[in-house]
Amino acid sequence: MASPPAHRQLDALPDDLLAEVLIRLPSLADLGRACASCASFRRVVTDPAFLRRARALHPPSLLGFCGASPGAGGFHFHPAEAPHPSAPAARGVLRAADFGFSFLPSPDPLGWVVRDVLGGRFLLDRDVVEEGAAAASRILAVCDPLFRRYLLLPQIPQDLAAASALRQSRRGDTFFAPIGEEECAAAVAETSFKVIWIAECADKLVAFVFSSVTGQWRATASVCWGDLSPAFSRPACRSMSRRSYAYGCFYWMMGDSGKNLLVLDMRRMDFSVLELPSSAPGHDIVECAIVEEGEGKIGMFAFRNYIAGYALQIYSAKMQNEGKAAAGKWSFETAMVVPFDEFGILGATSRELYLKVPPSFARGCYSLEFSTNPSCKYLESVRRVISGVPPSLSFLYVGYPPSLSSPSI
Amino acid sequence: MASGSGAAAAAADAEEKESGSRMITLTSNEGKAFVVTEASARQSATIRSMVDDGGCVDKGFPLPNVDSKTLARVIQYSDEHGNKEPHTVDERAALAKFDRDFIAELDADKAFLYDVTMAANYLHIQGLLALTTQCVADTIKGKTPEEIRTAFGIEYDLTAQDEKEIKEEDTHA
Repeated sequence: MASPPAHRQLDALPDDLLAEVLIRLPSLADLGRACASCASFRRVVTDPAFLRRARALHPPSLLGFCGASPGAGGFHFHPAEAPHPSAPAARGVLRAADFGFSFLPSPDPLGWVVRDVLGGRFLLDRDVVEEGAAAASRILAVCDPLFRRYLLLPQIPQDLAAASALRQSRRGDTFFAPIGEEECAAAVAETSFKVIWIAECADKLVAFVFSSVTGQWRATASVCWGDLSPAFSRPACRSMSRRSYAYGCFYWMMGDSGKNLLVLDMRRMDFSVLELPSSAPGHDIVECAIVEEGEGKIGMFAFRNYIAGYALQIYSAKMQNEGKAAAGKWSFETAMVVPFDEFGILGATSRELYLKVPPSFARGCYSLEFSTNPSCKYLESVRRVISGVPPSLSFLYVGYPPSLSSPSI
Repeated sequence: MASGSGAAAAAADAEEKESGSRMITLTSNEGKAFVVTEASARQSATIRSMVDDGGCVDKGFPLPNVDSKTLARVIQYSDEHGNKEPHTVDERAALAKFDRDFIAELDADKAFLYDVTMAANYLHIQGLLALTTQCVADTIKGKTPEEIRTAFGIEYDLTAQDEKEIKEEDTHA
């Protein structure tokens, strides 16, 4: 007996049931392949509500690194290369997105500088000199290169900026902050973002927050250097290096001394200082990244100067109330010697540390994968993500393949 | 089996009302009546809410979207899950084995699998719906687009625009 053609039967399932089937696929790669197999699967998978469900189940993955490209002066995306599992999705992003930001309204697209990358959004800024103005001021734009959308942020109002010198401050940091759960109203969550601008002035630090929900800047935190720590009396100790984020707090290693972390607590909106573990002379911490360790702890990957290279040390610290770590409570977990003559941290999670390694060693960008057990952390594997290392490479691109993405602004 | 005679039903009702195992009649779209325990019928959220809302339990529930063959198979699942409550490890293992055998049999007859899936959806039997949709998903899992089409007997029906987008995405390269 000939059975009836099966495709009629599968088509008989209404879209909401096909969605129940497809949402049970174990990986985004499976979803991508299903999406490329027939019109009905494609219709279901590309529905925005389905994509939201799928993204809620599957965390985004590292697709590559971004940075300015030497010589060209432009911004480039370096997709993860095979055999890295993200390579196909990363190639898709490279093909589909406009990382030249040609959609931005500017007579000079090279004037824009990328300051941060998070969740498919890029934060850019440039100087503008308004007619009659004595000095240039900065404008910020948030862009989605995959969907070629942008939003120019308004200037910080004069009354907030207090002194115009503040507005023109070139030192400091501008970056995206995660949207708090309380602000995460489902309807707008996918296109909502928050931008923090920390202006570093001669006598103090000021944080401004822009929310896409209100469309406005607020001045939220301000602290005098002298009130933070006597160590900041020397201007050389005030420069903010690579930023980390864990449990509602941002962390910067400060200055050249390797002794202090500046902490911005997003819930209390205040600045504080966290001391780094002490160093023997000549073995200063030169770079570090703070990660979410679970079990009420933050973790830290710290590189110290060491004989013929660096020592990578892993620490953890118990958090006090509200996610902040207690000063001076670092406990040492483990250490290993890395034979690089130089390197750079590109990003970190409790499981993975992303490093760029220069040509003199095994040139490339690598992910170092660690065991998840916080009480005995060890290096499980090292994986090369890309083989080239443009010197200005500085951002991770973590996201979804184009077919599973939705506009982020 | 049409055994819904008034006396028997009333006796069952009186005896077992407290324990929630009155007998309930479900009627397929072909007019065939199936008498099941209330515990079995309550596997269906659709019937559960009708019973709890004081619906016409005595008259039974006509199911115009479900044929007899499908309903019999759905009841097989509901009886197993509704009439027995697994307490021991062995009982839970037996129920898991029932599910495995149940779905393996359905998987061999895809058209019937889709009918049972739609009935489970219509009747809101979450456990059964999870079982059948997972079974279809397992068939898709790990396959290339071409293999997916072969497995389900789907004809190639993507438009030139779709093809262009897929080529750009390159998700299966």
